[in-house]
Amino acid sequence: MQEPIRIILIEDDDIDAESIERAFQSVPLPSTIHRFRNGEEALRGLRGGEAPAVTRPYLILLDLAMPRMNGVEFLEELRGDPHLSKSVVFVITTSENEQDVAAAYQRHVAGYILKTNQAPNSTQLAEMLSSYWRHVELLREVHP
Amino acid sequence: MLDFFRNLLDTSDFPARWNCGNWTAGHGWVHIVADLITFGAYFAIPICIVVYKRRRPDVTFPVLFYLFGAFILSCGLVHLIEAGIFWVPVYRLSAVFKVMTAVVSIGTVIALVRLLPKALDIPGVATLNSQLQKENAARALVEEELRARNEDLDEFAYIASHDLKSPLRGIQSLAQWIAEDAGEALPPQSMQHLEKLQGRALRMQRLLEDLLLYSRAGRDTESEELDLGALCAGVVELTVQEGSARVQWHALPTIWAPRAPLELVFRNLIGNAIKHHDGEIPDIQIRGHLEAGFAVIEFADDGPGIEPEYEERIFALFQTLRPRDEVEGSGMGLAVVRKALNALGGSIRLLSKEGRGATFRVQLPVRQATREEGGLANAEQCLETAREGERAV
Repeated sequence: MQEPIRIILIEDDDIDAESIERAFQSVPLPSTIHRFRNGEEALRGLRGGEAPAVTRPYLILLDLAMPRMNGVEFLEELRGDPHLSKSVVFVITTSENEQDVAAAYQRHVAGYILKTNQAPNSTQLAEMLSSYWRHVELLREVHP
Repeated sequence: MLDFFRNLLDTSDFPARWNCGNWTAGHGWVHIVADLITFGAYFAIPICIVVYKRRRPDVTFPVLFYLFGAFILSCGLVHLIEAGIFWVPVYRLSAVFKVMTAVVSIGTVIALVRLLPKALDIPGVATLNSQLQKENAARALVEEELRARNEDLDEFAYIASHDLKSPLRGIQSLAQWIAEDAGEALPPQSMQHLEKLQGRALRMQRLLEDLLLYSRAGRDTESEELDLGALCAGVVELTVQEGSARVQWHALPTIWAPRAPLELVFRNLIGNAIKHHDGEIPDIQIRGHLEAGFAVIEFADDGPGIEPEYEERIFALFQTLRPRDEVEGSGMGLAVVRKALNALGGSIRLLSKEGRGATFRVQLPVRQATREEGGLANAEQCLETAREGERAV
């Protein structure tokens, strides 16, 4: 995909979110980041309602520890929704807890990434996702 | 009296009992058989008593056992003689044995009376058992509470270190971004402040990590056969950069202990020696030997040394000897090391001396592995497997 990267960023911490945004700014391919603060907000944004749903394709970057609806609960909802279930999700979290990792992969995430605050790591992450976006075919239309 | 003993076996003065009175065969034989059976029993019983006494050398009143054995045997012999008298009237011999039995019996009575109060003082097995069970139950309760507390502590330490680290990361990122975006516009003093800000945040991060380590120190109980020479080599490889220090170790024994705490000890002591060194290339000598069931390892460096008056203070929590702006350190390393070693039944102290160089003496019990666990059989084997290792890094 040569078009700009579209990222759905579901992250409640402003600074962690800004980290990702800054990292993508340093990557050659332009990107649009849709930021949501928790799972509920994200689902509304993805499904559409008052505002139109975010256009496909996109990559979802998901934090696990969020208020109201946490990452795993969001994944449950996502995989249960026929329109959204085929989305590609990368978990980005501080939790090294094995149970969390298992829970994420059980719900078919594409990858589980640990947050660090080292800038080089964030940049590499953005580069990796950019590379993924360019080389991997993602669904544009979903016919449930 | 002498005649009496000279004629002990003389039967001429007396008739055989069969011939004395109107004995029916039945009546006579009842006496004889009963006496013989009794003799048999009174012969076997002392044997049982002696066997028991020999198998249980820790029996409480040995004298009683001997006395009982003696008077029962003696009484048995009397019965044997009584049976025999039906044919051979050795009444003098009979008298001797009866006197012997009487004497031993009285002796037993005296001994029993003397020992009765003592015997009553000893609690019965049933009482001891129920006491023991009560103690065990109480101990089990305490253990349960301890385990619950430890779990609570672990959870607290994990949550504290995890949740406290999160805003820290934020601070570090923000400082970084300010430096990146506004660096040129900032007066040099503000840039310096920014750097110090990042430094403090990093320090707090390390402190939290060390705090977590400290709270966990001493928990590891999974022991294995540990070659300290190999362990040292591993630690040196990980923590000492090529050419930055010279670390040599000799005669480090193999012991039975958990790996992680030992790695922590080596890492901290070697790391400290390098960190506090004021010269070009730190030289660290690590020597081991065995002493009365303990493995003793001395870590000697050629750094600036530690004044004897701070001998104990360096092991206290959060204590550093140099200002933290000069040498980064949470001040917890040695406290963690000491806690970990104490939990293993070991110890660490600074060997006192003036002038340059510091030597830490680490002491660890060489745990004996049981035959089922395999591994080491005794301390001599440890000595044999002690290796010489040297590495100029």
